[in-house]
Amino acid sequence: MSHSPPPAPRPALRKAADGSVHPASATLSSLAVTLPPGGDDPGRSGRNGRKSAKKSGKSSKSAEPDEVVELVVQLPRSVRKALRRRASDYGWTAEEAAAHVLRVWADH
Amino acid sequence: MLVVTVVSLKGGVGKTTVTLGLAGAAAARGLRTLLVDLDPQSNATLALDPATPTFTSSDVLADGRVGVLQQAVSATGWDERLFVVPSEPSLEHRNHPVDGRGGEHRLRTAMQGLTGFDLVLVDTPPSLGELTKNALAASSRAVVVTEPTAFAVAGAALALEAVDIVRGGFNLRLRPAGIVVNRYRARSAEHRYRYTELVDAYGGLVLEPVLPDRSAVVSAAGAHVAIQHWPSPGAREITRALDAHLAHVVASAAGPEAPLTKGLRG
Repeated sequence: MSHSPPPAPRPALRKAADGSVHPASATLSSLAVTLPPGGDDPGRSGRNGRKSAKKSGKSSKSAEPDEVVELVVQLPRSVRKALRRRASDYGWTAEEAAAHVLRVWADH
Repeated sequence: MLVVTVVSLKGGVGKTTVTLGLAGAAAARGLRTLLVDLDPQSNATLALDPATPTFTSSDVLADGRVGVLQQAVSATGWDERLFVVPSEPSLEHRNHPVDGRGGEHRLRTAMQGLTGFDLVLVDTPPSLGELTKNALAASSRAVVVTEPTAFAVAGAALALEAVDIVRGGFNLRLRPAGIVVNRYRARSAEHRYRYTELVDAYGGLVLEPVLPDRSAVVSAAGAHVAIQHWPSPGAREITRALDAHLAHVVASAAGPEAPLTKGLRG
């Protein structure tokens, strides 16, 4: 009676093309659809996951890192002052807070 | 004041044990340390044996006023430099609020103005509900705990993804401080494989040395004493490893930039 060797372990992690690490099983990668938008991954979805679905349709283009650009806006000094004060409560600069708010708003 | 969340999205990997170990290591170093127990299972609270708890973390999140957390701080039976904001099982109701979004900054707001501590450690439940999001939103560093098993390693990857997402969504200061590999058995081929897999994926984010599987850990927890005070060679081995991890976490906060979670970016 012969004994076959035990099966080799399967990888639990996989690396994406951009170097990011994810669980090997795609079924375990559902966090993004339950979380608010944000993070470094421009393709990461919002609450409804629509962005992820769209991303899969143009995989070659969306694999490229998103270019960082500048957006210049005009606003009253008092608003900027209030923004700085409110951002400071969270440990952010006004610019970081503005970028974050715009990204969240645009993703909805 | 450094605020560190200890997180894992898989239960049973020893997250609370590691949190308590880091708290014990910090107190032994002379750091005034506060452990905020945000896990409804309340195991850290049970182990720390708080003197006269008046308010709990559930009360703090329910109140949510600026600085209210200070009122829930209680002394512990472990060390005069170690304090706790105790948990209670009803905290679970705050993990999935019925009104949906918007409460991620309640802990952060409640912690404003907190003084008298060098280090705050936040223990979390093994899920990415409101409690873990509150903890991450209030922290500048996150420590991920895992076992060297397939499920736990996948959970660690999810936890690091969550850190990235919460950093982008709620807290730009948040950085991962490291991955603690717990209950490592060098004789297990599976453990060796998973450890190598973690190092290949995350490199220097995997903290050295690993925490070996030692019976002293459960013995110390059962006696409600810090592993640093348990008299056995295994306990001393764990103590040395936890000292190294604490030093790394503190140093990561002092540096200009901790490593990002997204694998080895060149």
